[in-house]
Amino acid sequence: MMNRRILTIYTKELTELLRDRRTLIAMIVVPIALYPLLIIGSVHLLSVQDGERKTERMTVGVQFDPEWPKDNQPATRRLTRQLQTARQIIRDNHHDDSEDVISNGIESIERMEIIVVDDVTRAVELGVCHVGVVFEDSEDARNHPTQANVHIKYDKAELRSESAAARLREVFDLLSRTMTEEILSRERLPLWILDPIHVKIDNVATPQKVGGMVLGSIVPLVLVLMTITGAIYPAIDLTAGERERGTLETLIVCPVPPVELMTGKYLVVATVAMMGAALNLISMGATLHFGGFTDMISASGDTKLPLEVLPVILIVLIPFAMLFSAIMVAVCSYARTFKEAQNYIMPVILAALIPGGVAAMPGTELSGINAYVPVMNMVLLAREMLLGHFEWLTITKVMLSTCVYAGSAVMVASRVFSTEAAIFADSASLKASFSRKFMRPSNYPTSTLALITTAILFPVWMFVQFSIQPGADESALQTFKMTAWLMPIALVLIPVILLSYFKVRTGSALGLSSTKPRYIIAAILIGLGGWIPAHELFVLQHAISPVPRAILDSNDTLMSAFENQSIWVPLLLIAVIPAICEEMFFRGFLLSGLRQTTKKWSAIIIVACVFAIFHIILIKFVITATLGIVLGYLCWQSRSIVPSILAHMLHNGIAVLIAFIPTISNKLGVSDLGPIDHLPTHIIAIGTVTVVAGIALATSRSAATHNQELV
Amino acid sequence: MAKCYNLAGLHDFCSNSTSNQPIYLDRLTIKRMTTLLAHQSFLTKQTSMPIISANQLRKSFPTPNGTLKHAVDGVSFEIEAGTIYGLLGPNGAGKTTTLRMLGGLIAPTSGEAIIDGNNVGENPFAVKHCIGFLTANTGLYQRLSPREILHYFARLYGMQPDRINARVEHLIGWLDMHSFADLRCGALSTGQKQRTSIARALIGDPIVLIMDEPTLGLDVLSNRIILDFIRREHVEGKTIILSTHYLDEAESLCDRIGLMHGGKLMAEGTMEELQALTGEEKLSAIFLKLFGEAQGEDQNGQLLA
Repeated sequence: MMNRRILTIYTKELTELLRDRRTLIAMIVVPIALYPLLIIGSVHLLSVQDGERKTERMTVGVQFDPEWPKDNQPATRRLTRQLQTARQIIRDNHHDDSEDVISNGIESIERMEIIVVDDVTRAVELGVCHVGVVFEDSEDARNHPTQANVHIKYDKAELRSESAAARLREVFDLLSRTMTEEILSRERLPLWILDPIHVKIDNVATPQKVGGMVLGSIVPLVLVLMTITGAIYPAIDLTAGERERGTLETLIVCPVPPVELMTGKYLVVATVAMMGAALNLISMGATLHFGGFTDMISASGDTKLPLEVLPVILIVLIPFAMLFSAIMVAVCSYARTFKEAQNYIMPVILAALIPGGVAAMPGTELSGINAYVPVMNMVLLAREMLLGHFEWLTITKVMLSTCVYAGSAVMVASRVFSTEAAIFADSASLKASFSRKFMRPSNYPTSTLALITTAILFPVWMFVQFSIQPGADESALQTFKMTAWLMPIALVLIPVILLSYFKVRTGSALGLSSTKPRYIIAAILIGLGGWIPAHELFVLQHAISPVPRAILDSNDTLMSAFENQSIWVPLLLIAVIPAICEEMFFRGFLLSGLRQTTKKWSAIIIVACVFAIFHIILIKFVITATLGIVLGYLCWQSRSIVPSILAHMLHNGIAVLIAFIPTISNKLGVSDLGPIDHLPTHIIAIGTVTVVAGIALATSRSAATHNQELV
Repeated sequence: MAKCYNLAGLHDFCSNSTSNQPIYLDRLTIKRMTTLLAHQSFLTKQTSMPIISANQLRKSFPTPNGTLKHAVDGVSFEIEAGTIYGLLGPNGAGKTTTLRMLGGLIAPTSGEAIIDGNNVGENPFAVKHCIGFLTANTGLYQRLSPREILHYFARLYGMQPDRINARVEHLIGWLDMHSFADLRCGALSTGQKQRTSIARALIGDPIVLIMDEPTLGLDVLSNRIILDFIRREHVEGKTIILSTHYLDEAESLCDRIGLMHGGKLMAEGTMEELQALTGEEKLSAIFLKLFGEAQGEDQNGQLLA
């Protein structure tokens, strides 16, 4: 249920916004009127012009010959005769062509006018004639069949000159072809000699797909831009506008927390952005459908616009609209006036245009890191959908990463909005209020700091992961080694630097504190038995939705990577380093940040989901997230990351031992089991009991009292 | 716990029984009546605890060059329920910042303020529930009508839906807003906007009114609306703290006056006490004398340093 006050703010802001003529024009009138005008108008103009140029009057300049009188030039006579012949050929021979083609061809020739000039090149350059013709040999050569050389001169920078040259060239091609046919028939040779290998190219794409490509090249970027544009005005009006008009103060004196104010306002901006996106989409679809485009495009038979995909794209646009609304609101919250806000927003839009533009290029694909780059992933996803590709895994990736970014942006926005300096723009400079000098030392990072760091680290970490993936014939060992180097930098060093900048005590922030033996025992139990429920969960997941072969075979890749290595190498690279680094970042940094503002279970689940997303392979999302929940719970209860490091390390370590040491897997009776086979019943029983006992130990009542004492 | 005047008798005393037009009384009349009524034990007043108390309030802002600026520097005062307290001082004296801290709009860097038993720093929302805040440049939503604005703020104050309507209608009647209650605020005259702002500040039925320069830059008519309003609320038993730099206004309105300069409270007391302190008759003379002393101290301090 939505908070009543947020609902009040939401309703009021939306009412006020919709009463504003400017919003209505920008949101409703522009998309409804603009698309039909723009699209129909420009396409109409283009097709008309193109058609006209094919038959409009054009002038051909020929070289002046001083030996002849001006009105009886040989070049003029020769060209005139050739044009007449060509016209005759079109009239006589092209029975197969439609009336239209014939009449167009004849008209094209009839509207060529020959003028005599002193210098053909100069004349074309100066625009005296559209195109120039120079016959490089005398006409007598025709009696002894040799090749005739005709030079056409045109100005490539002039559209009319270029099309005139093309028209003239068609005439000469026609004459040339007719002459060849005459010669062949005189020599009694078959016509196919002209075309000994006849090539025919066929398109196998469905009309929908071709249409999808047509739409996909432009629609996604337009939609993304329109969604952003739709958010601009309300975002400024509701934040900087409110401050400028002096109404912000009346809101702040009300007993309403700034976060609620911000949420209400943010939701209005997101609503307007989504309404804008929907209207744009509807208007665009209607224009394409009713504007005769569908008919025009499908006339050729190989293109059909997949308009039915547009509603699906709208659904995907929702998290995107939420992300950009949050960014806009956060940026505008810094501004004191409408004008200032507009200045702040321009760079944001430009920053969004770059990945959007890259994504709109034909070669860019929705794979690897691209699925996590904001704006780019949305543009690419929309294009994929228009092409008829619905990969749920990719859609999930895009949606999840967009949600992570949107969440962080909302946190920033509410923090900015509740900053005193931001509310009373007169009281101090905003810059100074963010300077380090005036920060007070604290024990925990703010949730904003934790979330923003996560949002920034996420694409960076993805990029690192993709760039160190092994090539086809490279060993995965190198990747493991690189990860072991980079992980402490990304997940530990960067947070520690940020924490020390913001004067947060690293020890308490990362949860590096000692804890009761109870939690250590709980961690050992969970760590030892955890792999059993994890394996069963994977088997269950496979039964519900089959896992790709490549993932199932990943164990073999792992084995081959560490061939001829001591067992300590995989233990170090897979169990020890990741356990320490990941726990420090997720259960340490992120969870202690969220602990400040979020309820227990939402914090644990958010951290677990982020933890799972960082593990690239989304197939294992459920397992990783479940593990993340258990580790998060352990950390929350014990207020230390020592137990979760221990549990994590044991969990990964056991997986390594089972995979690498045959004696262990033999003893457990799991040596010949595949990744999707059930474990023996007694093992499942032991595992379940161990894990449940561990969790119970961490939950027990005295643990709760211990917590209360700390609070 | 009633910390205000019991006004059951006062209403009969001062209202004209044949008309329910609001009555406007000057301060002297009210003073006389209050004294009279107090003598006759019409009023039950609790003086045991001040309704507002500020204790060593300090607010420091970072400046771009890296130093701290103390906008308010250790200000302490107490205000009894039902009185009008005026903060006086030139621009930049720290009046606005003090009032914002009292209203819970900004958190004090150190020190504390207690309003009606609630610590502003610890429980700003409880404090915001019992105060009304009004400034001269408070804006209104141009595209909403006064009635809509009042409904909106009533909901933000968490009032029950069935009470909201009654409260809004009461305020519209009380401030004579019927003729323009449903017009958009953008189309209202300055006086009408002023009354809407007052109604907005009163929507939560506050026991304390905080007014920051309520008459700054207003024309004679709008000024009159505000001053009449302050007097009426005073009669109603509200505690009012206001800041101004119009000395006459302060002299005629306030029960007690605090003189601020450079973030510090230079002197504080009733008009009589201030007169006794400085030996000057008029407030402007009192202020200039104190101001001169403070300047002198500053200069001495600088010379010594």
